Amino acid sequence: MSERFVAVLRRLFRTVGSLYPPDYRNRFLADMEVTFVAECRARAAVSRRACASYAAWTLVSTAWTACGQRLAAWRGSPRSVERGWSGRALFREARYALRSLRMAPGFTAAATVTMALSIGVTTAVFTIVDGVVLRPLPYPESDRLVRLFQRNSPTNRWTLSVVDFQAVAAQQQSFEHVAAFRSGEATITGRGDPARVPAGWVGAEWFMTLGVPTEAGRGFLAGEDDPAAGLVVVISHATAERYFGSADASLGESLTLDGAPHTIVGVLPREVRSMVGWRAEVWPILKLPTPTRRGPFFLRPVARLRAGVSVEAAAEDLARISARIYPLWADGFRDSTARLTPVPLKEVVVGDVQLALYLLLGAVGFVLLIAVANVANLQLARASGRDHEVAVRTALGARRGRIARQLLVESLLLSAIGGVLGVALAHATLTVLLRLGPDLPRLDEVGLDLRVLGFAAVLTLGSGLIFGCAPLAHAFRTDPADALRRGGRGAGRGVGGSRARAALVVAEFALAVPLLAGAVLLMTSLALLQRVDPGFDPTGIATGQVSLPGRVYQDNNARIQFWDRALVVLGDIPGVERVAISSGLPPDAPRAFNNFDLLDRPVPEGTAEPVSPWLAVSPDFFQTMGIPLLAGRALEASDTSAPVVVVSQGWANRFYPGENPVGRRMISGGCTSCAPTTVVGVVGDVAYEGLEAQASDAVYTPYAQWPWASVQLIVRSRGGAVPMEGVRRALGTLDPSLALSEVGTMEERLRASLAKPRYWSLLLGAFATVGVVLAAVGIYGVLSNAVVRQRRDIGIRLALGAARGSVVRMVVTRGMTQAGIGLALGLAGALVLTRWLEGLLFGVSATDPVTFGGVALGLLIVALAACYGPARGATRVDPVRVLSAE
Amino acid sequence: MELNISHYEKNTTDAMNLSTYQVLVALGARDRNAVDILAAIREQSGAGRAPSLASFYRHLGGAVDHGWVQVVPGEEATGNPGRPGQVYRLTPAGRAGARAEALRLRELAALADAEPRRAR
Repeated sequence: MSERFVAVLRRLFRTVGSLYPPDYRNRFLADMEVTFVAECRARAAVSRRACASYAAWTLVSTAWTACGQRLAAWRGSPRSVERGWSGRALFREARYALRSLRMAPGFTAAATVTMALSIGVTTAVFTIVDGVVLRPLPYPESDRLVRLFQRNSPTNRWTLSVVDFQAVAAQQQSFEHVAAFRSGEATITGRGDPARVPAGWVGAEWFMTLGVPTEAGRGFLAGEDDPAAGLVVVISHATAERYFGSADASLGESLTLDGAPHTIVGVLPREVRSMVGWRAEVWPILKLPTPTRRGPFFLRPVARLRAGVSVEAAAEDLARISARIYPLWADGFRDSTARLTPVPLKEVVVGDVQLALYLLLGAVGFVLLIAVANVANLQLARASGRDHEVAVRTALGARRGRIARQLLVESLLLSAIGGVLGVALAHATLTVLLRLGPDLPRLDEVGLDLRVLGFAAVLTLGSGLIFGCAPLAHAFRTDPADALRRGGRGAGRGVGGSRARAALVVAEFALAVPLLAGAVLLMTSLALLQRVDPGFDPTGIATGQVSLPGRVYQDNNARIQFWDRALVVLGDIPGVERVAISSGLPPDAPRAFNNFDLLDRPVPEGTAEPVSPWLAVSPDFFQTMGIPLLAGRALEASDTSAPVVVVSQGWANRFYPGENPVGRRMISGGCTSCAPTTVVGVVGDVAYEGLEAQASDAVYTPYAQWPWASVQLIVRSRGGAVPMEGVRRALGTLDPSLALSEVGTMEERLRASLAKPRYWSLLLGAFATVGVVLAAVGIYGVLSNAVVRQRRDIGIRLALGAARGSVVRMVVTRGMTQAGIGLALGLAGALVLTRWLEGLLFGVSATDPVTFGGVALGLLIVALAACYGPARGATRVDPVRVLSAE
Repeated sequence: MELNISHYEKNTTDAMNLSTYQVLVALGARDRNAVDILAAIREQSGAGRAPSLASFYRHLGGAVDHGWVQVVPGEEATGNPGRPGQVYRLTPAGRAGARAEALRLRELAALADAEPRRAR
């Protein structure tokens, strides 16, 4: 062995040895080094491989032991680690525990599977909650980012107009940057088939405001949002790869969006798939038109607070701006109470799903607690069978601490195995949850990472410590002399263990009740939502979105003429019964709201005008959708000049209760210089703000009077499938640059609108099922164990002539008493906890007595079924055999 | 030397670790340095096995802390090439401890022998 190699070994050993506590180092390290080198030399004389493997193993084991010593020294334990909590001692206990668990495969499998399931599901749900709600937004100093709204009451806020935004940009003193944003879709043409992609039009300061870098190229420059400047766009990494092969290759290239060529100036990093919760493929520059009135309100600006400026201070700044601009546009916008308001961006992005996700996390937390109680119960059952083993160890000199350590290590090992399996399960569960789940914000940021693994580790350790307390308490309560006297012939008969196990069963039932009640409430709510009449006949209807490029269809006439021609052509397609277009669609996409002032019932000066969903529709819309005409007339092709609208029954009831609204007039959109709009008809109510919304008012205006560039095409078939391929081809012949996107049937739209409530109720239902099954298993296990422990008593009773029915009654009464107490406690808890569900419920109260009664009855039946097996077992006890064994 | 049980009991409330016992036995015949002790342990085990270096020193350190083994002052083994190592010596308390452990093991063995007969 060369001296150079020896020097390397010495250096390595000294480095590893430096991990020892200083006192130990001073006393032994030099001697250890001498011995290490001598041992290496001895092995090198045999073979280099033997020397290398000895050196490697010694360095690793020394590092491990040194860390253990360091930890022991830090905790102030004695220097000798023979009986301490050193790594070596714990490793020895772990090996012993592993052997012990291997000897009880049934128990080990039940406990690890229970823990793996609960830790896995809890970790998966935590991963989503953490990624969506808990983590800060993925922007530098994201707590300084705010969204700007107009607000006239704590619950009513809406988007900004061009007037609002320009006033803020020019007058504000609270923000470092402020940028406008408008979401929508754009049609990419000139690169293969036209493609409709999600787009986010943003102002020049957008990327500076968020602090999002580009992977290639740059963000926007000041002045690029000037109407006279050229059109530029930043695209996603995926779009760059799809159309240009790579990010670098796309820079400087032209991409035609809605018929207008845009120069690509930047490409976003691969991991940036969405911004402010909007997942877009292209981010074109937003050029704002010169405003002629206060509305319309369609901008969602984002601003970055200056360092040290609070949201409250910014709100005061914006309120001053609101007060300044109000009189300038008061003739068209009469709500003097409306204020520009900043709201923390994270609250806006995740606000909608926060409650539901926290509830889910709470639910899986309950499942975890039930699982821990169940494993503690299993541990107790096993511990009572190990009294003899513990007594022998105590008699042989093992101290209580040593036995406690061994039992605790066994529990932690069990929990660790469950934790490792749980993390694997969490990965699979997460994949399923993300695939089946609705479109939640920030899902692209969700993933299993070190933070989540840390959570799983804490969960595992905590669970192990909690359920590890059960056998510990049992071991300390058991009298070794009594256990030795019994000589392992039977489990302990102490009442303490039985009470502990009964208490755990009570806890399991108490935890299962709120879970089940919550799940049943959500499912009832979903069933009621599915029965809501949407107000139209969805069968045989398919829809798709079409957007007319602004560069080609520059004015209203061009759009009106196109659709006049297109609706005739599409209506002639074989299999098509009727065709219509609309700016919005039920049940949850009105896309536009408008304010209005009734001439015969004007709002008082300075107060907000009423607002309703406002849809631009073609004359055939009502017949195509199957919406009944209730009064007056429908819209007609001749309604091109005099402003007319058709209103819904809900609108009529709201503004003209008990009266006929036909012929009433109003000023719409705050346009005091425009001719008043006349109500010409009343149609049936249709849900536009979600099936769960109570509001059903809607106003329909002729498309010819409000020609949107982007519309929903509605096609009703004569029966059978809607020939949307034929529709797509026909559109292509009319204008090859048009893309038909978001194609689907109306029934699919209705189902999709319930995706979130369905998802929440399914998940909570699954968790509740697991909770109830675990609770049932718990009561079954406790009773089975009680029957085994009381075989002697039962045998004596039977020998003395007790009827088998009375034995069954005894066992069932015991089980049902535990379940009943748990149920009572659980119902009390559920009455408080289910109130958190109120925001997610429809048509059912959070304290619905029928639901609570049903849950109680259901759980009692489950408990009764779980009691039946052990009760039957008790009747099979043979008195002769039991008594002779005694 | 008399068996000093009281000293042993004062320092031990649990069974002595096997490695510690092996160290004490190895030092029973004469003073040795660590390399020699390890060699003796290998010889005792019959299969040429010895604890890892870190484990060995942990138990050796434990024995020193218990007063069973002491470092011989000023005397260093010179049998190894390179730097010489420390020399260790069994103390009277260590000798008593080893004897007490041997006694305990013998009693346990007797108990184990008797158990099958009682069971019959």
